[in-house]
Amino acid sequence: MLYDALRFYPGGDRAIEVELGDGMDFTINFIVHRLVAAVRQAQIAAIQDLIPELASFQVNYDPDVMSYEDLCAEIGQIYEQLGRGVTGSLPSRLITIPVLYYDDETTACIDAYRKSYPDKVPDSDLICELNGLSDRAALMRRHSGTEYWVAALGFWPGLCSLLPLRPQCRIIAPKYNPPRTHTPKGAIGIGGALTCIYPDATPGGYQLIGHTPAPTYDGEQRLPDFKDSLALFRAGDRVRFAPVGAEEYRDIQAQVAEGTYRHDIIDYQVFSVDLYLDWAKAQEAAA
Amino acid sequence: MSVKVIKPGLLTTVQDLGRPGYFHLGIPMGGAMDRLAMRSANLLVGNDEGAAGLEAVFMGPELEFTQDALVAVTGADMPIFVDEVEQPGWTAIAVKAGQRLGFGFLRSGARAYIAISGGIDTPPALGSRSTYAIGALGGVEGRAIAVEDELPIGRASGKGRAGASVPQALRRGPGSPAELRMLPGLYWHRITEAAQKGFFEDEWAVAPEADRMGYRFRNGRPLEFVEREQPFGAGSDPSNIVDGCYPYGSVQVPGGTEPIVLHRDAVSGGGYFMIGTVISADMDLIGQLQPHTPVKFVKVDMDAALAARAERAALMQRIREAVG
Repeated sequence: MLYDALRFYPGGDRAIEVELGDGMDFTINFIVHRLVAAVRQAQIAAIQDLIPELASFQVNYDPDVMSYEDLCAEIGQIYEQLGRGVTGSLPSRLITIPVLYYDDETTACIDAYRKSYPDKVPDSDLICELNGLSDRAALMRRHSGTEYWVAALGFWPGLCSLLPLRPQCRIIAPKYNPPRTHTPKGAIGIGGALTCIYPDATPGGYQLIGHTPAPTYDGEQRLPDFKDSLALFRAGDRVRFAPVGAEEYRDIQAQVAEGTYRHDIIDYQVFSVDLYLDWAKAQEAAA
Repeated sequence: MSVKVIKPGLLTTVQDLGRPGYFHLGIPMGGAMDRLAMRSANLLVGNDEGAAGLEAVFMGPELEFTQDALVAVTGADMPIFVDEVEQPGWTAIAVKAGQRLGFGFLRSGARAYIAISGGIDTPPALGSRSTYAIGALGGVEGRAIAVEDELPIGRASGKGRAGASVPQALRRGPGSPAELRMLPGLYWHRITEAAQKGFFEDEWAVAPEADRMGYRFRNGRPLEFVEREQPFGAGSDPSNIVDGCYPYGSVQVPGGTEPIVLHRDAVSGGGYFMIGTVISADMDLIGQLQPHTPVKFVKVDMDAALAARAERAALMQRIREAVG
């Protein structure tokens, strides 16, 4: 839900949390990114860093240059000029990520957790149950049957928060409680209404459904597609998951090890928000 | 010139003042946890305050010098030796080629900062030499220092002088119980009034899970949540939120039980609610807390936070004047 006005919260004496709404939703996230872009363009001297999230963003600032109240007022004014309409188009790359669903490595990770917490329902069974899916094959079809919107990056270097763009492909899942201490690098997880790809072996809380051999973060910038950035994704990109079999999976692993793997990135497309929202509405009406 | 690592210590990393500006890629600012100590050590040996030095946790390394240099050790209190001779802390020490810098057991604090004239000259990553092991960035190949590493050292400015020292009255370390001032905010309204009061009344203790990402605290009472309906996608636990950004110093409380204060290598965002933020003036102090140290959180408002910030800046200025 989009709030009527921005809500400001102080994050200590040098950060402001600006909330636009509550909920994991494409429309709110789009407005977040547009407002962040406008604030960036205003080149306010006190601002040191702007970090967009799902329904909010954070401003790191120097309180010796501008006070909390003045900065909130300035951001509020920019929002007023911008309005809350959702329209326009933007360049948006489409990146296809190969996935081996229900692979051995993430299965072993789930089994290891269940040794300590035997009551934990296995991840894919839990998701199927909560989302009315008959079996794992149906879950795989739903998960790979949509493009995703890169709504935010964070939590870990290169970790992406992906929102499904096709309304019928929404999947929800609770997070692990307590969180896992280990997740395999490349694991695909679902938490809340989001999908993520673990860029490295990290702790984590999302339910795991598969694994990609294609890296999404490369600190050493070894692979060609990381030449310009350590992180594969940018906010506003779109992602698609392509199911692969074990053989193709191993083949990609070998290419990554050799340093020759090229990600499937299409970068000539423009994403029209208006056309998308019309389409999503029609899809929902038909469902 | 270079410095050879004879013993690495427990967890010793190259740090400077960090790499702010990459949070939007999920890369934290990093840098020394106790910035006042890091800046002071650099000033003592004639470096820029932001030069790279070493941050040693609980236990110091042993280093061998291939050339004469000035070194200074600040922060945690542990005996400092050049060869077998004990040396003062917070003081510029002349070390000769072939000599070794070593340390005894920790007496107080948690992190010692070692500056060497000329600064450590490992290749910068995203504008900083700070080691961020999780992202394999900065430092020595993105990791803690190890036996037989040769740490490259830059050219000394010649401005430092042996024997220069930060006066006792200007050095800072944690008291007991340590007091951390917190500005309530963010999702403070999500816990009950009784829980808000109890949080500041309780005496907490630093948990063993305390590192560059964050410091966890236990022994206080669990927080009680205000009833509400969770928004779509936030998850069913009342401590979950629609993923948001985590400010530096913010206090998140997964499950409402054990608060975690996020520090310089903390993740940039996620789905746990936060009850407020430790003020910037007290963040250095956290880097000097040992596990089991008793801690009280003290409620402050924005004016008090800004006053403390100004006081801290004035203290740093007095150190500059005393050393320079």
